[in-house]
Amino acid sequence: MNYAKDAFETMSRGRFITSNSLDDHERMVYNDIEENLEEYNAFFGQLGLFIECGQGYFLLCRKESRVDLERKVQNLYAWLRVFDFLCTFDTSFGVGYEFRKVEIEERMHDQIEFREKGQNLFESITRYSDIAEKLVSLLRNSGYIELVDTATERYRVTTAIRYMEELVASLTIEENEENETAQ
Amino acid sequence: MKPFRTIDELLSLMQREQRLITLLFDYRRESCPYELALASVDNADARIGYLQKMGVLRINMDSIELEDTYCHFFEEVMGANEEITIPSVKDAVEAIREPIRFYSLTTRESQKIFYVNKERRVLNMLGQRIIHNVVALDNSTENAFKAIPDYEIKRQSLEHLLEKKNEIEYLMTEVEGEIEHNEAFFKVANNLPLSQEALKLRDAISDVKKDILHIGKEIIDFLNQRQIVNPSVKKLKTIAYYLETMQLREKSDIEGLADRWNPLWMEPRQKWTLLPSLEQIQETDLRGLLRRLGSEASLPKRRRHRVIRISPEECKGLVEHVDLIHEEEVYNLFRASGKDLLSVVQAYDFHFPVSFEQRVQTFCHIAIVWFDELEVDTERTMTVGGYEFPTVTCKH
Repeated sequence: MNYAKDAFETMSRGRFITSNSLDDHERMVYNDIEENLEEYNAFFGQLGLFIECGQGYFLLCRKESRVDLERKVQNLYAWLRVFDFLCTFDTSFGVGYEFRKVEIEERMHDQIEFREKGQNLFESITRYSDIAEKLVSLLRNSGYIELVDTATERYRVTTAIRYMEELVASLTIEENEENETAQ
Repeated sequence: MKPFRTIDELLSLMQREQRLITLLFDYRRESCPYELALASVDNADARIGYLQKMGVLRINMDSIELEDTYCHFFEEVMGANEEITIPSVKDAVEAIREPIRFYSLTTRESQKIFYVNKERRVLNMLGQRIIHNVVALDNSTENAFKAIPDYEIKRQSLEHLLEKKNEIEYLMTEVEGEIEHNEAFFKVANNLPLSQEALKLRDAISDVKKDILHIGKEIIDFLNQRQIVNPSVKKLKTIAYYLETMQLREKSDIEGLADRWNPLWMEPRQKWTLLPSLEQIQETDLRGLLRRLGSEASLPKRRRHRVIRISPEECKGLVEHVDLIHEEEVYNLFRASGKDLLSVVQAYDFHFPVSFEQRVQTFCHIAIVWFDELEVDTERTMTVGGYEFPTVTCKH
């Protein structure tokens, strides 16, 4: 266990540590956690935390909740909206997908449905460029995407996006209703 | 129903009942309450009755509506018609062809001018109709996307709009083709307003072509999305739909999921408000620290509490006494005194207790450091504390 400090500093901010990160150091931390998961969990266990392991990502969770249920539901709503927006942008939005910030803006100009979804993402932000900027910084700070090219502002999706996919998969929806609306 | 005899009569009535007609036009999509209409004519029932008699409005139970003829007229004139009314392609083509055919058949010049004017009016009407339809189609598409919450109704409405879009596109292509086909007629007729009208129509068609393509693309994109094969995206779309319609909580187990999951990202960002320890302050570069405290003090008032306050009691702990033998001071006194070094070192008041060993150490240090300036006489020795010392004096 060589990177307990780095792991804590990254994950305590609610950020993911991913296996396909472009940052060598983050990949080293990921590999170290993978090899010494029990030690890390024993370490974080003393703080009342544990590491949740997904497909190619690690995430820090609390054993006992400190946030009230309503806040958690609202947080999930917000992220579901973001994920829906991203899948409307491109249905193949997933691990390894690359996009440019300006493409989001352009799509908002061109497509009404996308625009409507975009304008519902953040309160009081209406300019397309501001929405794209805010979205990209939110995704980047959480570790869902990483900057590939500064000049073109091209981003790549990390394995953390599987967390959102798993979130959608774990939600149970009333089947009859689902069939009706999804047809 | 009593028809108007002259336009003057119609216009003066319209002017007189301007308030009521404006009100009814505003309420054309829903029925206007009778009381409201009555208030706009100063509660004069007779005025409403007269307008009904003239066929301007109709009364249904307790509501009033503007007659369709007037409603359509105002909508057309003011460009407020939201309906897409596409003339049949056959009729449109026939409307273009007919004056041209008659023009070629007639030999009378006045008749030729009549058909040229008729052709011009047809082209103008078609141009206006095409532009109006594209604008209405764009509005209807946007409304369908925004205002229809139910996916099935939205899908069917958009499919219907897609058909309309195809019809408008077909009409545009046919009209454009017909104008090109009759190019010879426009040259033979040699009428400037007609040529200008034909040109205007062709320009209008090429202008709206890209708009109509864009509308079509939007509709097709949406319809294609509904046919997504990927089940997880399909599920996400359903979730998004419930989210939009505020039903997700009751239609899914999101609360249970939120209750089970406790990731740190759901928690508000933690702020570390730890104060530095006194030890840390002692080790820190004081100037840097003061500069930082100074800059923090200039922050807005609510953050000023972060400036560290140190009580006088705590400050006392900061003073540290270090006992230090200043050898140069001893040496200077020794030079000034003219005595031997050992006596000076032995008698020197260091202001703190100094052991015999420390005094000997000082004696040796001075003798070594300033050796060149000292005279060491090993013949004359002194014995102090059981040790024998040479006599060390200054060189003169």
